[in-house]
Amino acid sequence: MGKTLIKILAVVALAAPLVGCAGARGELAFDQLRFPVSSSAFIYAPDGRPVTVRELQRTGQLVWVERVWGIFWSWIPLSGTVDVSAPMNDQIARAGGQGVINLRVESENCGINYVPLLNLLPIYPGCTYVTITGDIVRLRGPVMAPPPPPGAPVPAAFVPTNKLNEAVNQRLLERPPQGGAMTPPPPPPNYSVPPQPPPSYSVPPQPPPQPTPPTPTDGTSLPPQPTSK
Amino acid sequence: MRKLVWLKLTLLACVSFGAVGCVHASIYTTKNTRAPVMVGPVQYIGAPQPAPPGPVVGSFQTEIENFFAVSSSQSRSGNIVTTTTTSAWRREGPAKFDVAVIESFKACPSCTIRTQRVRVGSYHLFWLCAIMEKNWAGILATVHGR
Repeated sequence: MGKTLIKILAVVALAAPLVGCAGARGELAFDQLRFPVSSSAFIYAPDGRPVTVRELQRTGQLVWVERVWGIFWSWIPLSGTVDVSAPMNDQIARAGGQGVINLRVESENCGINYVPLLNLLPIYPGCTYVTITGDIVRLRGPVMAPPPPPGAPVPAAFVPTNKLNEAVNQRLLERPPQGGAMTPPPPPPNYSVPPQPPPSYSVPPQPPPQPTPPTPTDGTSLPPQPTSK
Repeated sequence: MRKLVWLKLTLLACVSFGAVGCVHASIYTTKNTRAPVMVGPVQYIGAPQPAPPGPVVGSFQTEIENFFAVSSSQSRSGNIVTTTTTSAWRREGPAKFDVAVIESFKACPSCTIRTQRVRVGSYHLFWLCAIMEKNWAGILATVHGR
């Protein structure tokens, strides 16, 4: 019995280098988003201008964790393409936001990928945690009430601020270009702020890299960061 | 003989589990880019209707990967062969995405960039003389003219 076990373990140890271990892969899609989302700190205002945190008001935090699955050591994806638009739309709407900036997508191993021996089996399912975070924002600043459309009754009840802002922005976007000489130009919308210097798209200077141990593969690598776990 | 097998297996397990939890998550973000990098079909904040993107004038893919590996290598000095076991990080930071995006903006300053897909994955691998845990994140993005 003991010899048999040793033989089995020896075979497993010898076979281990020839195979992989549990893992997963997948794709995230955002095709059904109803709000603008940016993975930088900038987002487009209705007039096409890039705006950033100074002109935005943070209304909440977006957090969503998705898991993607795979078999045959991650080669065969089981989850395929996952559209995460619905939960993101829900969270943005609940927070009263108009969009998301600083979107981050983190990918890391699930715990079940580490189960010894089982994770050698090609049919053992592997998993990847995908954590999506971001800052839910809306345009900052007071917004003028939109002029009522012709024939529309004047609302006498309380109107939530976010509904008011959306209506104003919608109306501003629908305004035809001002070309006629018969009508005076309307006052400029007050959601705008003084113009910002043009963006330089540059990456701020990074601290000098720390010496790194040799890596087993080629390619560009960054200096090691302090372990957070 | 039996003790030797168990010793090897124990070492293998220790090294393997030493990597557990040590590998940083691979992160997609472009937080250092000073321009919007849009994700999804909506372009303007405060205008929740989908804005039709301009024509596609280009596309790019970028991927980062992080892994921890224990590998052994041999060096020879005269007749003396030395086997060295090293553990090493490969950590590619999110700045790689910033670089890709900024290069696209430099090529077309008036264009907009849309991230169409984010590819993610991970595995834990025994492979030849390396024991690895790896995860990665990548994007497929399109560049749109105005």
